[in-house]
Amino acid sequence: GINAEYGTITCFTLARLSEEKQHFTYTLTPTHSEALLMAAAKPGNEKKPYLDVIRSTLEAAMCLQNFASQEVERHNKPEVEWQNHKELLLNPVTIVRNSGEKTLIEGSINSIRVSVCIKKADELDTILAKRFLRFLSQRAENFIVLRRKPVKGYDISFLVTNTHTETMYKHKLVDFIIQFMTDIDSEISDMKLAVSGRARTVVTTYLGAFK
Amino acid sequence: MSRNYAAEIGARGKEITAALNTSNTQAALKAALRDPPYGCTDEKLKADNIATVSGVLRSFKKEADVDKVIDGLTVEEIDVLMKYIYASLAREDSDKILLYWHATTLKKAGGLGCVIRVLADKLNTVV
Repeated sequence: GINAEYGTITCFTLARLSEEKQHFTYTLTPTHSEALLMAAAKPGNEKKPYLDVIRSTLEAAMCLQNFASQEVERHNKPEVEWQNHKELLLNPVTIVRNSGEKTLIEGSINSIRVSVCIKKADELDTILAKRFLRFLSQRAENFIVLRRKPVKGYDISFLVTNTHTETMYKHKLVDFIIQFMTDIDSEISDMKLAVSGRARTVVTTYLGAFK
Repeated sequence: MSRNYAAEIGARGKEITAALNTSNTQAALKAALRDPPYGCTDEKLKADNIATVSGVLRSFKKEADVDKVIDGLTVEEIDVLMKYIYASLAREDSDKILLYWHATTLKKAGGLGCVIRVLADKLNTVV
């Protein structure tokens, strides 16, 4: 989530709490240093050009100002969600890295919507990504700039409005989104390892009874 | 005075294929960036045009080639190039050399102005 006052970023990892037979419970614990170590250990350089393009596009698109709704008086709506007035919207831009990974950046005068598609190598990745991102999206209030539902065709969406850029640092907001995209891949691969490890233990202990 | 977009795009496409056949990627790029079809309403023509230009951009296999050719571009051509780069990045056959194109063009342009013009210029779009 974001600490609104200082615009800092904390990263979350899933930690297994307890294991009883087939019951597993999870909790999210903020471990900023652990996440940093993970990010440092992984060779993240392949994604760097992709993320650089996204970063510069976000910096250009995140120039937001307050704009009261033209249709309803005293209302203030994020125009990118409303999509009614073409003069208030910027050209949407898609950045495709490969068939599984792409980012859609839709801007407007007072808001910007960033939708991300995560790379999913196999079925297990699809299930894990869907669950994890739904878990995060449902807690969108805590993340402030997250959107509760991803845009159709994408896995997760961010909605940044002029109030966010006014109360938080713009460069930190861009950093948050880029950091999110960097960490998502390592999170999901760790979860995949954990699932297969647990499955292996379960199977060996279960089949050990038949030895 | 309405432009004949089909004729322009067709002629440009032929020029580009000729240049690419002789591996003259610089001439191909110059041809690709000339007379962008702003205001064209035919979706298929625009898609074909972007496909051709995207092919030109992706024909640069080495990053050194990109660096060499980008020095010879004028300010207007940089703007048009940035629009084509974003249009090519939106396609499924996007290549990682396009990401390098983006970074180098941004450096040559000296700032985010060309990116902002891609986002905000709604009259002159290639897509």
